[in-house]
Amino acid sequence: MQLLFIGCEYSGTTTLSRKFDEWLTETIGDQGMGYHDHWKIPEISGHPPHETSVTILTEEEEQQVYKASPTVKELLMRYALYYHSPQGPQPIGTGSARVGYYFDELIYAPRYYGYGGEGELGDRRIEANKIETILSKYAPDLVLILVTCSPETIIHRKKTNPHRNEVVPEQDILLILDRFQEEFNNSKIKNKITIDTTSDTIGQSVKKLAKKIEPYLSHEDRLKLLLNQLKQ
Amino acid sequence: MNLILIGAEYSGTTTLATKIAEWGTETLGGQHGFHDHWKIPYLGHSEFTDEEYQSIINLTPNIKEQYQRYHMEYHLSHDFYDDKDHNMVGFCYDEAVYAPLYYGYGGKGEYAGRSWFARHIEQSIKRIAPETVLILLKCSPDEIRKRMKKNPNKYGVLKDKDVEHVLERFEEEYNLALIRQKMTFDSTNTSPDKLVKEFEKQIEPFLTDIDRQRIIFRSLRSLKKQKKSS
Repeated sequence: MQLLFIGCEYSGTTTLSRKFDEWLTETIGDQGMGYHDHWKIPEISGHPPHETSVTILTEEEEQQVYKASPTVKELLMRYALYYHSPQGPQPIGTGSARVGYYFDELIYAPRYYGYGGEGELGDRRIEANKIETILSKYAPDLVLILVTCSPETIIHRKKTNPHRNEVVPEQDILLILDRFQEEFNNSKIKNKITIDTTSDTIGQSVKKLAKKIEPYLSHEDRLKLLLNQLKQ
Repeated sequence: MNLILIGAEYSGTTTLATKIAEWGTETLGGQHGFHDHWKIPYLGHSEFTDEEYQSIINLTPNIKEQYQRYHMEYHLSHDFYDDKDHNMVGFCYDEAVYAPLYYGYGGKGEYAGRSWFARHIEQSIKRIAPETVLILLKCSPDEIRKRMKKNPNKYGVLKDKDVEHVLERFEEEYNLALIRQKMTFDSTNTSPDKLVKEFEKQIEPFLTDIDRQRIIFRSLRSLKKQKKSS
């Protein structure tokens, strides 16, 4: 199963992806997929639940990335995008999940990082198109999951549990929510799901996602699911 | 044509690459170039200021390691290999030799050890571009030292005390490489023009059908021109 969670910061992409992974482990019997959830500068590495500790950046390293010039950041992130894109057919049963990925770059880079705008080197619109073409070819079953949330709830979460390296300022929340919706609508990825986390608990959101994802389960996922149910 | 040209700094890889690119334009037509940006702080074609180069040098080994790993994988993408020509200087071999020695990462047994990573990359190359030719450019240690003193590179990596070791390491990586089409040259007493002539001879059995078509097409065209003018 290949999943791509996207959504405005604080909409719940990270929480939902982690909890859904637990659900997958329990229901399908997978070992947990490992999440590439490192697309908001300066947090550019980290792959829970199978963490490779040596690649996690220290606070000092995060500062180096944060303070790097837009040109240096652009190149680093462009290379990172392609490093995390399939370069050939995926072996059967390959499970992977990305959170943010090229959507984060497409939306945040021109606005907050100083690169990737239209006509600039590494124009993120062009890179996003290229990556979607690669995904259509080598990960055609990938499911794009847009996690939405009301602006009020985003503000509430921002205040009660602020991120260490926050990207989206309060005045941009509406705009960023709209931009994610717009890019989700424009995406060429065929399998799409929307989950609204405004008033649901995380458990309820996982249940909704589990229901919505059913039509997109692969042959291998269904087999694993059935086998796992027989065991119980 | 897919070439990977490797060798110690100052052995003349960049000069030979430029000559091969000129030969390619003349013989095969079109534009030919090399991705020659694998020695930190040269990490791409973006135009960096001196301040930016310095900031790259100052990055910690952990960030450099990630940057370069992503950098290498990016250059294996279809965007590049879907072209008829994709040529590189140094690439994963520069990393295998210089990273453990000068950059503080990529040693044997370390995460993404660069000698291991080079073999991993070669496996991908064998799959996506099996016609790739690996070229090792050798040079004597004395000649390297002479060039180092006469014309030092602005952000040169190679240190005088390491010349022999680095030359050996390139040879070792060349011998370990899984790429089957290989050739070596020695620039110690041979001029770049002579080297490119040697290259022209040695590359012939490794030319792809597309290369041969391009040569035939261009030869026919120039024959037609000659006939007309006579």
